[in-house]
Amino acid sequence: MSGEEEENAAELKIGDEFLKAKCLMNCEVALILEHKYEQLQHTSEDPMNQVSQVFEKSLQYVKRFSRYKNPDAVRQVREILSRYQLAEFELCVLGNLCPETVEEAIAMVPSIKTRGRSHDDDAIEKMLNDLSLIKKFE
Amino acid sequence: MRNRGMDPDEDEYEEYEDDEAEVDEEEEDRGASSRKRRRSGFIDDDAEEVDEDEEEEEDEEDDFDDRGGRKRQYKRMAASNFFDEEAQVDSDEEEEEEEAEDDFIVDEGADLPEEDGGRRMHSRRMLPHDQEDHEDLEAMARSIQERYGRRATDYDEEATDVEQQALLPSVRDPKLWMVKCAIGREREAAVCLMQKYIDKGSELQIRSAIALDHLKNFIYVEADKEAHVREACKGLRNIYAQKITLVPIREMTDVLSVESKAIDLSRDTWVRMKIGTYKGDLAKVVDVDNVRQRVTVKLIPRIDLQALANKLEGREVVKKKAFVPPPRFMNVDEARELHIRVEHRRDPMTGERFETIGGMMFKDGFLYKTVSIKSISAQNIKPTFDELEKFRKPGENGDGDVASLSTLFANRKKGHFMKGDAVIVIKGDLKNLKGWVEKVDEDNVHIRPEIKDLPKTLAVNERELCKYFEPGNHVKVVSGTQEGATGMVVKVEQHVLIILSDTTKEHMRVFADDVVESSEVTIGVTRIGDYELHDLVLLDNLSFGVIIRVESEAFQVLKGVPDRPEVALVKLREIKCKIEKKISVQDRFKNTVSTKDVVRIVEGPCKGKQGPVEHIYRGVLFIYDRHHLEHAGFICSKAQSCVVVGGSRTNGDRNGDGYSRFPSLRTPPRIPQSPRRFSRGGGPPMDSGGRHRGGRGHDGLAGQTVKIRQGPYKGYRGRVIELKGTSVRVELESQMKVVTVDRNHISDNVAVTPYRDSSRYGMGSETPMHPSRTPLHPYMTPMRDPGATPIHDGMRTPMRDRAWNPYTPMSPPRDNWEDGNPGSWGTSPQYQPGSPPSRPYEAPTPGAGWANTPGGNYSEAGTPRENSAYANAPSPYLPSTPGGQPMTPNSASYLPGTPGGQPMTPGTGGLDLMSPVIGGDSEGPWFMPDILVNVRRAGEDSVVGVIREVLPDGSCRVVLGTSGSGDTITALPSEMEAVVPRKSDKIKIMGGTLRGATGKLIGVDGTDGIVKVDDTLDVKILDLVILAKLAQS
Amino acid sequence: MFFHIVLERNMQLHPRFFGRNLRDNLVSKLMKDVEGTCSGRHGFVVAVTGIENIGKGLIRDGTGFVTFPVKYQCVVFRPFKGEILEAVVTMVNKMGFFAEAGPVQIFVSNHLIPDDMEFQSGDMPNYTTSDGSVKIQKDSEVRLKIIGTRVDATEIFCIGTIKDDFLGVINDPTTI
Repeated sequence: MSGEEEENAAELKIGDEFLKAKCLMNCEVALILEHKYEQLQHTSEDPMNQVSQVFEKSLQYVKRFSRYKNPDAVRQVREILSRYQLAEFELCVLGNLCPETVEEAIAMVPSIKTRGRSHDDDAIEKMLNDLSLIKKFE
Repeated sequence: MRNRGMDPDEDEYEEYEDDEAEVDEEEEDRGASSRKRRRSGFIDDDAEEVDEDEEEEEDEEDDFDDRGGRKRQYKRMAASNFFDEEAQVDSDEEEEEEEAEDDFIVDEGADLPEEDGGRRMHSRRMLPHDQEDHEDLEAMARSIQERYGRRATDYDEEATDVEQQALLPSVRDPKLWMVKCAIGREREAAVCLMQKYIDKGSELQIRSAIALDHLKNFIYVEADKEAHVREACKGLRNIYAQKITLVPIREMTDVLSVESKAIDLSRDTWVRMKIGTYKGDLAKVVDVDNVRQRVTVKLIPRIDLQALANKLEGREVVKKKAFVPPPRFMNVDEARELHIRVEHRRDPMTGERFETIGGMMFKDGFLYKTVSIKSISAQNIKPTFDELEKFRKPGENGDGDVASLSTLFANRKKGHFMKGDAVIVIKGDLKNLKGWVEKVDEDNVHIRPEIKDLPKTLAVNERELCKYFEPGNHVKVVSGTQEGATGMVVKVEQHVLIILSDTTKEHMRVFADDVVESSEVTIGVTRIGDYELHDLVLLDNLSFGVIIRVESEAFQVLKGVPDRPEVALVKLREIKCKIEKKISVQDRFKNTVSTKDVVRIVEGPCKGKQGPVEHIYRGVLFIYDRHHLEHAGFICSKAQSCVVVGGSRTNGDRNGDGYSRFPSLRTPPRIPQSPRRFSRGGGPPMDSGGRHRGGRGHDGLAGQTVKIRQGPYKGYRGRVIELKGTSVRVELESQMKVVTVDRNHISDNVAVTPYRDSSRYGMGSETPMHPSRTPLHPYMTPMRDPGATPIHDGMRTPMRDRAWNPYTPMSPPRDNWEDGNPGSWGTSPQYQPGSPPSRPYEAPTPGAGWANTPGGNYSEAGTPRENSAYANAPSPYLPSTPGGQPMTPNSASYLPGTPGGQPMTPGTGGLDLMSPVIGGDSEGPWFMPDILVNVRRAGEDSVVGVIREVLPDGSCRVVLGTSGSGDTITALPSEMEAVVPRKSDKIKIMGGTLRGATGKLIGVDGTDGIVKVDDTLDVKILDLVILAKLAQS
Repeated sequence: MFFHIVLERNMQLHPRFFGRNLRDNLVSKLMKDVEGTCSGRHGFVVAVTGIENIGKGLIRDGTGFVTFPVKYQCVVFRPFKGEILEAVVTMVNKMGFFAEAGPVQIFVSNHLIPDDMEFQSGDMPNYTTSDGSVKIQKDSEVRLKIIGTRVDATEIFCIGTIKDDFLGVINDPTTI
């Protein structure tokens, strides 16, 4: 066991490649996959039989667990969350789970409270409030 | 009393001189002579004497019996004759009492010796001194002291081997006598002798008594004379002094050099029973009795209460043979219910209260039993986790756990820490410190602690460390009952880890010491005997099923019962045989389903699941869906309840039917592949999707062209048709037969599909083929008619033409024949797909065989090609050899050169596609019932209808409407036109050899249609012209 | 967690596909090859969203096949240890329950289910709290934390827990 290198999302240890990569929230993925599915529908009659099971399951999953259905809302969410210094990964987790209280948010993304980061509870609370507003007015 | 000694028994004196000498020394050593000793000096082998001796003993005890007195005198006198002064001196004290009496009897005693003749033998002539020599006593003493003193010092200087040798017993040392005693009482006997010595002191003339653990029934007594031993053993119940054997000097050392393992038994040690009802059971030592060699252990009782009740009540107990009741805690209330008498007793030694039932002691549900040490095994006891748990009463909790485990820990084998292991300190000041092992020493383990402030490495005793794991670690069990299993840690409870097994997805409890971190994933045991995991087997009672799990001695079989999943545990012998038949059935929509096709279940409990078909038998499909969590992913379903998806295994992870997606990609490419797969509906063998390959053996070998390197078929080339465990069925190129060879005997022949990304260079040669193929299709069209009998008749022209077509390029590739399909393509033209095997080619003589044989087999169409091969010079194959020889070259390729003929073998499989090569298909499409046609009457629009009946003159009775529900009209062939089927339509083949067959159009390529024929499950390329859409009834 | 990353792959193409449709062919083949696969490093490749770059094709000696290095963008799903996500319960048994989050399957052992929830067998096996207020059964949505991942040849398998705060069944107000 080499604890130092072991991956741990709670501490944002997910590897450089993924830290720098663009993370997608479920709602964003839903948009992408649906778009692709429609494309397939145009080219052949039975798209369902052509996509892989992985695709199918992913599509079902993101459709079910998307908090925001409206593309505009999705955009807004990303925009709001980007204002706070969050890593892509953290941003998406928050966007996916939509915690309601600060406590919950910290439990979901423990790394926002790690040393050196400038998130205090107030900031987090504000962020959560903004998110819920979007949802309300979606 | 020398005179006495000189009496008739003089001879005997001499005999006993040696004895006397020894006795002499004995006396000197001991310096104490008791009456007994003297007596024993006299008595040797004579039984009579022994008796007398005993009598005398008794008499002696009686005291002052006449006879005894006499004897006493006699003895004393005799003794005084033969004993050294010192001895006399010592015994004087004892004798003095009687001396008075004896004095005047002395003379009388002179007679006695005559009566006790034998005894006199023992008179000691050697002793020159008379009892008078008291003055010399001191001198004597001194000399003897010196003598023995020296010896003593000598002993102290012992050090070398030579001196050791000197220590070995010699004739002058006391002998070792083996004495019989009561069984099981050896130690007791030895202790008794010791006790007797303590009581009697110097009277006892034996030197030592030895009881060996491993030697039953006997003890060893060290003494100078047997009489001494006898004497010593008198009065002891446990020792039977009748049987006394002398141990030869040479073997004396062996007696004491026995190696015996010292078993340190102590309280609370774990042991296992070796015999009896509890054989093999774990037990805990409660008390040890070393003297008696018994231990009291605590066990989980295996009591059959009912039988016990019967027995106690005197009822007849039917003793069930070999019936061992399962271990269960004794519940006193239950016993009471059955009217078994339960008594409460207090154990005198420990003071604990016990419940007694039928003579057995119970406490807290455990049975306390006293058994001999021999019947328990104390070495290397590794209680399994389950046993320990069972032993732990419900009342005990964590503490008990740790306590019992700590004893285990003490017994753990050392040295199981390795560099890099994560460990945690469990004892001492540093308790709960985590770290990683840096180095392992004899006793200490150096760890690098987690906390930064501590020194780089700390040395910790091994006993204080324990391996540490966190949930989420992937580990492998390296010792214990679960050895070999891998899994992920779910929970850590002190020393115990709960692991989720990779294979069975079940929890396992193991000790932290038994696992190491590993990323290895084991698949577990996958086969017992002939049967492997995922095999379809026939069970005894005619039921069948798929093996979904292999356990240590049995299999879990998912039975072929479609309605509800039924799993049976079967033993190896209950399996009749493996089912390896390749059958196909029809799905709900009459599509042919064969193994490896992906189907979706549309009705029943597993509706919605989809996956490839692994096995088919009796109309039942076994589908593997990896998302199905039960039964290892296998689902049993009726064929009728399923639909084929995508027509091939291209669906699912394969991202769908590849071909349909890529319109740009021509379907033709498919063709070569199918031949490869050579099985029904062959889909593209592309495995790029990392798709589960369902089953073993299908690792790309099937369909490959190989060369046989060993065995009776060495040198032959062929194509792999089927993999059966370690053997492979290969279709020989040269002969029209399929042989079974060992897998190791074949070698890949650089065969590979062109479409494999894994670039295999073999393709290089094939490349030319491909292009040839494409063009082929167009050409193929005409050739579609497999039946083409005409072709046989000497190479129909069409063939010939074709032969000269771009097909020709195929010839060069001859070498590629074997190379996968491409190769086959090249050859195929010749061979035509027809089921290779079915071609009875009798190696027609080159050139001769044109029309022959091949013709016969052409049913598959394709054969014609071959013919052509022979015949004319369709030497398209052999540009070089115009007519005639064509075969030769081919044969050459085939080798074992049956000239002519056989070539078909290769690629033939693939050639199915080639079937497009139709031979004389001059007749054109024939109409047949159930197809959709467009009827265009003069002046009317075309109407769609279904042909219901074909009349002899060629016209047909057509029912209008797409489903044949409208009017019935009669139409002429000229008025009718078959509806061109579209992809995925069900079609009927109207011409060619397959005429009449139904199938499904799985693809369209130009003017050709790719058809999957229902019955044979072959994929054929047929001209769309002869395909008609089948009406949906 | 879904990511949008750029991956590279060497695609081999048979010359028969050359021509105007070369690029299309290549893309099709790529999609067919890659979508649905899974690797330990990147997780599941869910869908290819676009081609970033296709390098120059190199003809392989002896075969005639051409290798194109293709850089493409795709959506991948990669679960991380310690990640908290939501999943759908697919099966419940006494050892725990299985849940699916997209293409990945997660097993939650009964040791990692809060102690106050007990297994109830029956037609619809489930885990329920003693007061019956919370129930986990097939098709329930749960929020769980992944504590370990294991990569197989073809898929990723995870172990999760719902024992921590804020984990467990998602109370969907609409269903109450």
